[in-house]
Amino acid sequence: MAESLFDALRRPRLVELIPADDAHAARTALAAHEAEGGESPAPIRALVGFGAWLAALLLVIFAIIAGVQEAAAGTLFGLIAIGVGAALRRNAGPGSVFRSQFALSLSLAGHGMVIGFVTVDGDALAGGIIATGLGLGGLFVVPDPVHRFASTLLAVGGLIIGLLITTEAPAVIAVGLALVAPIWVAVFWQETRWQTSKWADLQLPVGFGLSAAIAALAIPSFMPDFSDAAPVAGLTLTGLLAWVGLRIARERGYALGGRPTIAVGALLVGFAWIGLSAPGVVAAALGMVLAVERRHPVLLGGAIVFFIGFVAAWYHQMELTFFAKAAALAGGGLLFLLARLALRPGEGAR
Amino acid sequence: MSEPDPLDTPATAARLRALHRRDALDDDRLHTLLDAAAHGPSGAEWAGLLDRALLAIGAGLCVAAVIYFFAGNWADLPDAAKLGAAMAAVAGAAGWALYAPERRSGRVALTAAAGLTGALLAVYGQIYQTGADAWTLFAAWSALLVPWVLASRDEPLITLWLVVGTLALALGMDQGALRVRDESLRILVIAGPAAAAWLVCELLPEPRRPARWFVRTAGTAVFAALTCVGFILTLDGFDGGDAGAWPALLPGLGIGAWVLGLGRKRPIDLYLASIVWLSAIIILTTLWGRVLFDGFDAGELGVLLIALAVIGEVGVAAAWLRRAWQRGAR
Repeated sequence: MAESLFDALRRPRLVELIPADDAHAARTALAAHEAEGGESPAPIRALVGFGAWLAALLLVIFAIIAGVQEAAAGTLFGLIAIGVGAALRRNAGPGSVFRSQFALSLSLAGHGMVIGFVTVDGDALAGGIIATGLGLGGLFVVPDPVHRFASTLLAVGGLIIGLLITTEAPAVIAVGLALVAPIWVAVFWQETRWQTSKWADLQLPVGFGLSAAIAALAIPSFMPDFSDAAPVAGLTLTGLLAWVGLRIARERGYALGGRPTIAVGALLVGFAWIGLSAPGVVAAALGMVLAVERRHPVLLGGAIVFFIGFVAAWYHQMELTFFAKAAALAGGGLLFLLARLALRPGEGAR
Repeated sequence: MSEPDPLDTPATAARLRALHRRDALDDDRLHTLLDAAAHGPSGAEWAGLLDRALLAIGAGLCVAAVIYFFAGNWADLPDAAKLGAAMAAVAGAAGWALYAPERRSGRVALTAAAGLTGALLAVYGQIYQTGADAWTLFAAWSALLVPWVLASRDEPLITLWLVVGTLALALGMDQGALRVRDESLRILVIAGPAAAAWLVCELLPEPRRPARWFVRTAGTAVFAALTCVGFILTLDGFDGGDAGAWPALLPGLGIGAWVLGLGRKRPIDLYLASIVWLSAIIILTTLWGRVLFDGFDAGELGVLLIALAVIGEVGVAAAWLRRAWQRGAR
């Protein structure tokens, strides 16, 4: 099988890290861990998340057409659903797949009802604050990675969307993006520290939830009204990209100076320029760097898709003639190719 | 199949912490191994990855620049110059690929030359106003790429070739060159190139198989098409609509069962197995909806029953996938 970019991110295997003397005990411990449910790989988590979201949507529709249409009743039903869902999930054993799935769906449906009824009742900001509160609470109360992912999205998105609806100022999204991005970087950068703390279980769901939130916040950056505030987010993200790049270089013993520094500097200036109108492009580039540095293929795949999408959208929305766009594309392409030449010690095979 | 070694799995933080909780690792060892497992690539690996990324992005932007340039159809530029410039771009990229076939830049140049060939054909059509349908451009483009694809067997180039071939088929049916009446049969025809590619990948021996992302992308396209067909048949097929697609159902079920391990010699691919389950959940849920709402006029109770059915289906899928994972599916 050919070696791909994703293969290069493969983590070392336990058998390579654990000394032969300790291998027997480790095998027994790991077999017991797997027998108790173990770790769910990304495709299973994605399927569980999709199923829970769909079932939650259907449960909300059922509640509404069954007669729960008053704000007070809807909020109460929602709170009960959250409570029952959380209790069921907390008490579900490792093999209780159906109970866990039901609990997850019920809790998400409850969240949807509470936030929806409060917002529709006329107070978007209150709905946003409640969403953020429920999200933060859910992170600690419901010990389920998919629920924690959704809770992170709620915690970030709730307040920002509530403020956006209330103030009708698109700048809220850009400022939100600028404030969330450093937390996102910190969560992945400090992975080892998190993983040895008592909050270890939160790190990956929160990291991936923040990644999804950043992507969702960057999508509206192509709306015309957003452009005035975009530099706040774009420059923050470029600053973070520069910081992460510097740390990676320093940890590997590279010193500043010479052609490589000029090349990286030119690329950063290019990203800063793009970030002034399209922060999503810089966010996706930062996501790619974090994914490689922390060996997360799923994050890398998502960041690559968003990078291509954001670059295409950025060029598409430029108010330029075909020739000016061609010149901009050629200029950008040459910048990347020249940077490659400057950074390359010698070209190797695949 | 022999039992997989539990330690022959990636050193994720969750597994290392599980070993620590069960006293198989002490505090110091846990810190050291977490660091070793989560630490990024070495300087040399980073340089290689950066090299690939900069080359791919730079080449992609340059090819897009050429396409945008010709899309502008500059009236002041003589036709000969337009054709000459497009041909020079193709020749330059293909020449570099021929000069350095083993280098990364050579392989990227060949994919760029393949993309530029489409631009060249478009310029030709622009100048001579041949009046031919658009599908002929894509069909010609696809045919011209065959020798390059066979020579390089490089996944990005094969992907481009499959996309171009698929577009030729889709446009061919739209523009009447290929007459297929049923909507679901059209979907199956469009998925044909991806299905062929996926089948070839599955039949190739392990050392010659393309990168996993390519196999999974082709497989995803196949199951997306089969899901659409299943969805359409569930909605219309019982009333006689799209009847021509019914015979496709059996091979579809067979392929799904094979991906889930029936008669399969290779280990199960967990990603594709999840896609098969997702496909089954979508089709089954549509079927329940059809039965409950059209057959029994179930109203709000029907919505509740479907919600519970989704929970049950996903539960079965998750339990099955988890067991497959514990038995070595990756």
